[in-house]
Amino acid sequence: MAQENPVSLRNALNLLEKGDKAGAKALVVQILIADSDHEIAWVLLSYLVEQPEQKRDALNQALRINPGNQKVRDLISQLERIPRPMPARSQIPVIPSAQPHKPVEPQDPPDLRESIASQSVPSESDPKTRTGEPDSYPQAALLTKAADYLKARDDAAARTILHEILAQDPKNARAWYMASFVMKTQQGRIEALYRTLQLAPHDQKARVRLAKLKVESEQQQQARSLPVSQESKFDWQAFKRIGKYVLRRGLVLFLTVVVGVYITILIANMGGHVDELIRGIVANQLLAIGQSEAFDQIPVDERVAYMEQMEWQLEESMGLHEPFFLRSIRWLVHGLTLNLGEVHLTSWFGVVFSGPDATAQQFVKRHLPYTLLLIGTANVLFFFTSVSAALVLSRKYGSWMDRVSAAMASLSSAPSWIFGIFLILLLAGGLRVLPFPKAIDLNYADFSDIRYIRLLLTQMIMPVLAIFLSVFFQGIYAWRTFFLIYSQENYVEMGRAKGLPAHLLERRYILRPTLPYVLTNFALMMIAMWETSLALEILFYWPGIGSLFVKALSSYTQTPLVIAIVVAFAYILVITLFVLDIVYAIIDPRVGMGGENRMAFSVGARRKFIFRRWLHDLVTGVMDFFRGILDWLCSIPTWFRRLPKGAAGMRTLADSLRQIKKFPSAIVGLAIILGLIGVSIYTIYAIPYDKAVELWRAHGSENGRSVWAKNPRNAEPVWFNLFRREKLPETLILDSRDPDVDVVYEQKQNGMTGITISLPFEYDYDTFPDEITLFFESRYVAKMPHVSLFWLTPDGREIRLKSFSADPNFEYRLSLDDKLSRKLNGLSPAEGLFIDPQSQAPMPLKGTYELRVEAITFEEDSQIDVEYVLYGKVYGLAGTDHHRRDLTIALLWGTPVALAFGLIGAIGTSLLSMFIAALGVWRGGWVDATVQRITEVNLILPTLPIAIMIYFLYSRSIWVILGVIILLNIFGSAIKNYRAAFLQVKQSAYVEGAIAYGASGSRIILHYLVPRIMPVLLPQLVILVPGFIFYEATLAYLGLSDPYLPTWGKLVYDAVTNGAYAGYYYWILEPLMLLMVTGLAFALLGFSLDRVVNPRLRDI
Amino acid sequence: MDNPKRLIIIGAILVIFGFVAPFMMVLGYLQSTFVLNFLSYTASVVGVFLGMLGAALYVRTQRKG
Repeated sequence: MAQENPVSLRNALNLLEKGDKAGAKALVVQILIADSDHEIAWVLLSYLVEQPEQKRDALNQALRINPGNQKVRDLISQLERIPRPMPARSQIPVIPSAQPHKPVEPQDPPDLRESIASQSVPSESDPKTRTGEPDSYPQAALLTKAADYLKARDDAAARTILHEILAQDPKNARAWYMASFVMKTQQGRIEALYRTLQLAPHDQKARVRLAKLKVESEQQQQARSLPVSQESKFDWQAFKRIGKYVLRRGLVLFLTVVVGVYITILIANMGGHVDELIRGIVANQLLAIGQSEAFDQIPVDERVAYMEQMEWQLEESMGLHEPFFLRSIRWLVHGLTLNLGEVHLTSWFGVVFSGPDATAQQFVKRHLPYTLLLIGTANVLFFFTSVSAALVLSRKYGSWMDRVSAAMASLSSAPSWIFGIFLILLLAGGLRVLPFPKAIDLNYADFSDIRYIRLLLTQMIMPVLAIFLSVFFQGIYAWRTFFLIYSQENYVEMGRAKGLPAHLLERRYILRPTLPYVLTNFALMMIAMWETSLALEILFYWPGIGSLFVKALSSYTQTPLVIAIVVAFAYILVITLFVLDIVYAIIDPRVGMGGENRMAFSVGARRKFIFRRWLHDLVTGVMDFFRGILDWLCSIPTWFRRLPKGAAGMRTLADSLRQIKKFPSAIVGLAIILGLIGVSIYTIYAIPYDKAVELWRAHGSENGRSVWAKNPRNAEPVWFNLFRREKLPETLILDSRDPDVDVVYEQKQNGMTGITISLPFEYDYDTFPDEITLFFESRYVAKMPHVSLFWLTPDGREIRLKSFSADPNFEYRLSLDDKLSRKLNGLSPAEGLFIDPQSQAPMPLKGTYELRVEAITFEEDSQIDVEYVLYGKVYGLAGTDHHRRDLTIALLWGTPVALAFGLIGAIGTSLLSMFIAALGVWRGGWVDATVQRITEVNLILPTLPIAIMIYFLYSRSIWVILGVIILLNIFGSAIKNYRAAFLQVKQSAYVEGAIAYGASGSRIILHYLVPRIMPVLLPQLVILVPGFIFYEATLAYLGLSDPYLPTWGKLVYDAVTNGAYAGYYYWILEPLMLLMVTGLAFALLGFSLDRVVNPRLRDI
Repeated sequence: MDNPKRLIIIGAILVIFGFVAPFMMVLGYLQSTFVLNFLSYTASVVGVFLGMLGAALYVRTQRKG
């Protein structure tokens, strides 16, 4: 826990609250000695001093620092009304005032000057220092006068008198001591004190003052000389150092690209996809040759032989006969240069492109600028707003704006496409200020046409805003948090107290430790932005490489294009990391200077790289790792048994809860998460997986009818009526088998039976229903019952609807009956049957309607039943989709899926990352180096594109994709953070103790290293959960989800691709809101837990 | 490095280049090449980094206590 600096404004205020005004004043004076530009300290001093003149002087100093401080101006004007005492200057507490960027000679604090005349200064009465001159009395008077001038800050007058005294008596120690206050230079003051001590060697006051001046002088000299000496050497040395570092990092990153591309090619070619593709190209070329007219004149046997030879030659030239390793190397070279041959791609409007101009390279070159345009424009927006926001927020720290930006940061974990959908609904659907996204077909675009430019710019606005929103608050929050943490560190205060110039303090003490975190955070944000741009481009039909990638993947023959795009992504990520490395090198010269960053297989390391040792390390390392995990799992029951029991256990729990209780956001987050867990349990219990999957298939049937046949299509949730002025009709189902329904049987001759079914109902809504359907079920042997339908309106009209013979499962779609529509003056039956004939505007007539079914059966056991369904415009808690499916099922089942995906992903990634980092730190050497190199390679592998590639090429299960994402995330940036933490823990005395008593590697890792990191792990784990939930949603939105399982992302995909923009906003908003709320809940809890375990964050 | 305003201005120029270059390529005024594409992206990222650095320095020099 950080200790508070005793010399701080907060302590001064605490003393003031306790009534210790003198103590507070002393502290404020110390603060002002360290930093004379401390505005608040000057204002505080004006309260602490007594005299109006002193107050005025302090306030003037505050005003000098901040001329815009109106409160200070008001205070000064109040003071102006008080008459000035004469002479006032001697009473003013003298504090050195320095202009910014212009260091001045430090002056003495007031108490020293005031004590000159009375305290331990050697006086002429002291026999040891007395000079014995006869005119000592006049000298004493002169000294008193000089002391008065000194106190009155009239240094010139004091200097004159002292000069006079010392001219008469050069051995006057007191005069020399006083001269040390009026000398113009630091050196002069020191000289004066030396003379004092020569004359009065036992003068403790002079000795202390001399020591202090010497220290100050050294510090000033250091502060002045450092930048100069550094700058004089900086250009050449820094250039050499940074140049070396950049070259080394460039080489390492290039090697990581090579490895990354090779891995991509291996993934793409696993199972021979690429080989099959090349064989396909060969077959196409042979087909083209075979169709040549010249071949017709060659005999068939010769033709076949020639073709076989040609095929072999073509395969040979394309390397298909080479061993796998050589083949893959050939592909690697092609992959690195994106020289991956021709592709055949269909445009938005179905045109197929092929031929020499349609190479993978050409496609990437053509589409890449579009993606860069989006990112570049978002960066411009981010740049200008973040600079402004930084200025505003830093001045208004703790204000509502600051709090809003911090709260919004929690939402920024959502990917850009989610913000994109919100923007579409708001700007295109709600406000109608922008058009809905349209496809831009580059093959038909006239680039010089102003209409194209206008279209481009119009279509850009929403995706750019979406990218911006997804990074802005997160970026600002990260910047602000780290900056505040480090600006409050003790060593910053210490640096300031030491008198270091402000610019040195900023650069060395604040920016150097702060910026790497901020920049890394930003770089990772950029990488995530690139990945989520895939979905964003699909959403906005933007012709960038993201949409090109998904398009290429949907065709199995486009593997070269897929590889080319993944490689382009890898290059982009490498550029981001490379820029980050260079910035590190510039801001922190320590980077790259040590041996940490050397390649794993450097010359020094190679000497030790003996095969036997390597094998031993490998086997031991792997065995340790798995044995460790096994041990740890076995120790869990013991750990639970050791948990504090009874009252002690409750106390521990209460302590933890008390910590959490301090953060209302954590309580909100926890409550939401508990609610979601409850919903998940209920869902799994109430709608088992098989049932949910069966129900969600649109083709699910029940007694030959779709299970959803009686649901309205695209109906809003019922509760929407609470907020509407015009009430929408609800779905009404009346069944003749219901005991309450009036059914009259009338026996007729020849075994015929007359059946009259009356189905009355109230209609009290302000709009017309969507559909009306009658479902008949009739039983007969030979002759179908005959049915006549009549409609009775509240105003007494009777309308004959239809007469027909009803087969066993007859459905009469009343609302689609054209004949009836004609009878109703061309109005649709759903409208014409309910319309009020008296009203001017088409309004439904409210009241009691009745549907009368008059049927005649022709056989004794013949029977007919009818179910009348009036489809409303609202249905259930969540509404329905285009397949009439109740969205509640998807929303409910989306909860356990999202939680499972998020938690498994976060826990799996965090634990494995931590174990691997611990193993690397503990084993050290090549194990650690390998982990580090894998991490570097992995950082340039674009997770989402690779996961998508695996989905298309290998498995369509979201759980397999989850495994891939976990695998790609294990070796992420987290492993570096854990490694840094483990390196610190490894130095602890108890770990050394454990080593000394002979604890095994697995024991040290799992019992000594890992538990220390657990408190840090927990908040990080919770914060990771939303990322995985959004991963699933992004994949599902791209259409890459389990074909049967209903999830939130899949619901969004269904909604966007099936016309939800046509006013069915609930369909998109419900899953999106659940995604956002879930993400927010975990983010709130995670940030709060972070504060519980990291006290430095509590005040921020 | 010692002049925050200069850093911000250089950052702004780079960021704007990161927008203008792809825009010109999209409109066909510049030929799309990998070098130009990657250069414009690099400029954009470096620009934002410099802007953040400049803003951080500027804010610190303005903010005391």
